[in-house]
Amino acid sequence: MGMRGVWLMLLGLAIAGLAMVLGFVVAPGAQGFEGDSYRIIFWHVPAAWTSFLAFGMLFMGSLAWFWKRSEWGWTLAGVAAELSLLFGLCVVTSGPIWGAAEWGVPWDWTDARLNTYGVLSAIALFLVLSRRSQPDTPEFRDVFSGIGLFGFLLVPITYMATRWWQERHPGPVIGGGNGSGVDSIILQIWLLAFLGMTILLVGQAMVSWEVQKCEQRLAELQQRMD
Amino acid sequence: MSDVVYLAAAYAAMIGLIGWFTWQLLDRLRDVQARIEAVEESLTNPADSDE
Repeated sequence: MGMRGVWLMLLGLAIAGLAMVLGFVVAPGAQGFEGDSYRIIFWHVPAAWTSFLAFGMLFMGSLAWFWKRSEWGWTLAGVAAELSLLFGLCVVTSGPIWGAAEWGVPWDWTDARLNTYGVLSAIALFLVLSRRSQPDTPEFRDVFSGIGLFGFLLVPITYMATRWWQERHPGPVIGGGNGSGVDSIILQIWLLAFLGMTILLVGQAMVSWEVQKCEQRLAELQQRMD
Repeated sequence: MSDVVYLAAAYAAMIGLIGWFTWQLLDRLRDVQARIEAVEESLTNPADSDE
């Protein structure tokens, strides 16, 4: 599983890298934005979509632990928490840099999309840090999974935030009603980047799964030694 | 600063995060596999590990 995961990571990075280059070289200018700063969307938006997939995995893993006390679910939740944090950090670092260029400020505390996504990423950070620092007990697994389950509620709220309470973050361009829409070339590059990042996510998940399984095996071996 | 500078900074941040995460993941895998090997070795040859 480890080597296949490594190859998938490389493939995903290559596709996402190609999409980034196409976003600079091939994509036309976007309506409503001056200059080149809008080209951040070729990774920023697919990274956000990919983070939602990772939060979905976290939800499934947490649910499997609560419902079935499944070891598989517990491992999946750990893998997904790390990946949620990675793609969440990509979004919350690139977004404010773009905001500084486009709005003149990196963050707007009145914008629901920014704040709900920020909280979502903070939840992922808390889960990763707590998993690394706390002893692995059933009580800790319950708390971790509970936060994973309730944290996922923020995903649909974050997704809908620009439809319900749009302040500063750009509105939806796919399925956003009248006036929404995106150039077909931009859409194709977006989808290519999303494909690349999803393959990267799967590859990273496979390697991370292997790491967690090896860590469990090491703990068992060390118990035998003791 | 020009748009391109902001853009370069944003992409550099994302590339750096993905690269760092991927690197530390592979590093953790190598490290834990080496530790398993060492523990298995000491379990199968306890006399060698005492030396």
